[in-house]
Amino acid sequence: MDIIFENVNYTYQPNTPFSHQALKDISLEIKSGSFVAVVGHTGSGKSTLLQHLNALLQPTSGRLVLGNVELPGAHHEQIKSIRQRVGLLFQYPEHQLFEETVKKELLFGPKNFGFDLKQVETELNDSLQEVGLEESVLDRSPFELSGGQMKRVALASMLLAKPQVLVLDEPTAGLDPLGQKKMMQLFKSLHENKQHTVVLVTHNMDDAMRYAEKVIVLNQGTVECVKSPSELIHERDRLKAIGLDVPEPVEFVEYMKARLGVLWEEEDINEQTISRTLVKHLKGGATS
Amino acid sequence: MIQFDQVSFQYKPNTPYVLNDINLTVSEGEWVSILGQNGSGKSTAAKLINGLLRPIEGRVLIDDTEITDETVYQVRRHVGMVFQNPENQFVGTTVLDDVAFGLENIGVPREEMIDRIDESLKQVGMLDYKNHEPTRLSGGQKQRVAIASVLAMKPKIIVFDEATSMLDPVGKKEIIETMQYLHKHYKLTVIMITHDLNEAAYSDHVITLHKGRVWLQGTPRNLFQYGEKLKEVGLEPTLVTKVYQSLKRESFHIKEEPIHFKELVDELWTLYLKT
Repeated sequence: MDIIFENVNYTYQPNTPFSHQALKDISLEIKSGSFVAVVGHTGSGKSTLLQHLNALLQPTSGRLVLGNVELPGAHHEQIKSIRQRVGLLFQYPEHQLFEETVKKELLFGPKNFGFDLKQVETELNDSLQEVGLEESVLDRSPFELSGGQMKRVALASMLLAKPQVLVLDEPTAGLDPLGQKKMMQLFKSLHENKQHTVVLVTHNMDDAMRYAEKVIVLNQGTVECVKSPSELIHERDRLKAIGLDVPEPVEFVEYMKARLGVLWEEEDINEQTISRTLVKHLKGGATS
Repeated sequence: MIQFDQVSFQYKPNTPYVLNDINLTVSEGEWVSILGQNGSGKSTAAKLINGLLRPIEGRVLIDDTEITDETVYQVRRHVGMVFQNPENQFVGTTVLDDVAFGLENIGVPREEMIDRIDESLKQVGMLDYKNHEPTRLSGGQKQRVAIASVLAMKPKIIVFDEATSMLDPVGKKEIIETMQYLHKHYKLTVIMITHDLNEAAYSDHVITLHKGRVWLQGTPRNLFQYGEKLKEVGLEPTLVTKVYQSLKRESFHIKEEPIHFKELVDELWTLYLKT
């Protein structure tokens, strides 16, 4: 399903003294099957935007198209179908887990969406395996698990509802480096093998640049720019100006250029291209 | 000074030991990072330092006093903790109330309390937010208030248990800078629990735990030298380490293992390009 924002505005508590406009005239398109990242400083409107993606919030004005459903104005059944087709993974898994056992937790979504539970039960083990959990967790309380395991349970329960779009809010925060990498690889393979649309909301510019095809940069409720990672590496000053982190490899390259007079000729910036360029420069290849 | 003397710990009987025969010494005024993957025992070690947990075997000593039922409340005054999730450590309805909470608990006189609150909020740059509600602050600001609450108790040691891992890059930077300032000006002993090697680079010493045992104890440079081997204990070598390893394969060496890309680039310039 394609996702299209057309001049979307969203205001919290409108017509009150606490009124606050979190999204201002947002227009953008997320193509079916694409992998996009949404980045922005705290308060840029990221969370508000992501809550629109599964109709937890609806535009105050403007138009939002989610596949064949248009907001505002959709009826209850259509909104329910959006909730099934767009899975949301929250930053704090404890905010979305509530059942007594992992098994009940996993079955909750499918039950709610009217799936055949006998069929779903046969899929439980595969689904645990997919997210890297052992079968033995099924009878445990989700709250006894570690943060990383809880996140995997939340992810498995999201996947069992068979969504087309995965919306991931800071999915790797609080995980150790190995866990972070595995989690990102898992999203990548879901995207590649099952054609899921992935919307990654993150502060981590390294992840955004490494995995996304397009990066949507938000600033104070507006779309600052939409760029591919290879375009974004040239926007260092702009990213800094709006309080975003410049990925470490980009800083590395800037420093090499300034200090050593290195000529940067590579398209991508990563450890291989940095090493290659440095070696070339040290051997005198770049200056000769 | 913090000492772990043959400390072992398990959460329940007949479950695997989370910490196994740990011996450690952290001197006064040191900044030590405890690294390790999820489940390596690092948060358990942190909770042993202020007596939230007690060893099954062995002893934990703070300034030569063993933590026991009798000494734990005394010891805890010297050891402050800042946790991972800023949401989970607020009790007051305003920033001021929150910092006052701990002081009320230990019965500090009102006049002194006012001074201590202002002083500690000032040290973390949050004095202007004294009457704000904690819920309306950013993640980094919340963590700085949490630090102020700890600081008001005049601890000798502060344990930061993954205190930056939920924050955005700006928030992370705020907290690291606050830690550096406090470490320098108050000669505080800082224990930082983390899995971020770039963060650990700021410390005097690093202790890496793996499966409940000490895997490595040394300087950040010692740790960075392990390169790809760090993956065995669930850590990710930093970008500078990876680049330096490729350079070494091409026979470009510098004097010391670099812990920051600027160091590497500066050294390369001095050794190979300076004319």
